Amino acid sequence: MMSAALPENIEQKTIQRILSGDVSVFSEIISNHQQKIRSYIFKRCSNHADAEDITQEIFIAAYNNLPQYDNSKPFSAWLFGIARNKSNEHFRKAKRVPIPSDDTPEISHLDTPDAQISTSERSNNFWNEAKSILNEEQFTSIWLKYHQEFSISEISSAMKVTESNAKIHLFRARKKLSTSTIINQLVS
Amino acid sequence: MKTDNQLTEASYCETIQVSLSDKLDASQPHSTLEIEHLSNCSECTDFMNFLKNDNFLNIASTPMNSENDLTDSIMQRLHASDKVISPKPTQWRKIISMGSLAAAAAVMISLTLNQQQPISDDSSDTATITDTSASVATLDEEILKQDLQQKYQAISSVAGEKWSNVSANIINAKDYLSEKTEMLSDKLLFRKDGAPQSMNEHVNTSKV
Repeated sequence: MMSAALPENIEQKTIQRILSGDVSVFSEIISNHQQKIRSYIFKRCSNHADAEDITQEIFIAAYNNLPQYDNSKPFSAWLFGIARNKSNEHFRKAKRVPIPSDDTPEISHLDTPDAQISTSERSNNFWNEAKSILNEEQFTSIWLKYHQEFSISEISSAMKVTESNAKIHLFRARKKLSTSTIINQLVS
Repeated sequence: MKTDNQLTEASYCETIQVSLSDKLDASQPHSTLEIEHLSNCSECTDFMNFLKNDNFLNIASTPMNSENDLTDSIMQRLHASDKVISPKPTQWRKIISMGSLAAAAAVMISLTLNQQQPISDDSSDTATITDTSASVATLDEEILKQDLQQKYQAISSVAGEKWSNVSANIINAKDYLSEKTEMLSDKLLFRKDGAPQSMNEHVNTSKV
């Protein structure tokens, strides 16, 4: 399903084609970014059905707002900005807070020997714990930094904050993670 | 309760940790001051070791399992919505072209009217407008006057009708512009606060 990430210049050309009326190539954008976007949404809402719905809404919003995209900035950061807003909007509308995922390994897996816990399970546990101890800004900044491998500039662009604020969110997130017993068990 | 010294120490440690965090992102080396502090402070050393822990980096960057491909369903929704891409440029081009047409039409009509207006009372000017100065002198003045009056009335009637159409178009264009400007400004304000929304969503919201 996942295609290799398109180089930025090729992606810009794809966007130009979409803007000139070639709607079909938008599927390339979806293929390139859906996994990253859906992972983020799923980690925030912890429900596969909701994550799929929100991901679809994100791409439709991206398509509708594509003429407003500033091509001097990375497309992935712009798309994540929409993803973040859509997920926040989802929680506001539903008036609910994210609930722990019911299909990811629970923290009790930590009792099992390390060798039996796959990296994927560790990662799930890690992000579940991160979600429970970090606020939205901290979670998003740390997600963008490590999971999406965004630069500080890209994080600030995606979160619509200054680079200084992005650094502060990131530092606070790291600080909280470094003092979490569960996180320390997972990474030890 | 922490003493002043403890608070100062904690504050200094936090400053060092912020710097460590920033330098890690910027791939910059530690300063002498930081290295010196790290050799004496276990808390800051633990923090730095955590940031550089390979397990932490691997776990945090592990991609999630692949799920269903949403490409087809999203594309189907896009086709179903029949949304034309680049809505803004199209709209603005439409507005600009409408405005240009209205302005051009208004200029042409006003020029026509200005040219025809002097024929009303002054017969000497009439000769220049109709460009029949050579023959006017030989024709009966009364017949010419009647003929010109009839032509003037016919032209005035057509011009008046055209002018009212142009005025209506200008009013429509102005309404369209103000509506779109208001919608854009609402949208921009909304975007500062929260989620960006599509033009359709905005229109629907406005209607509600």
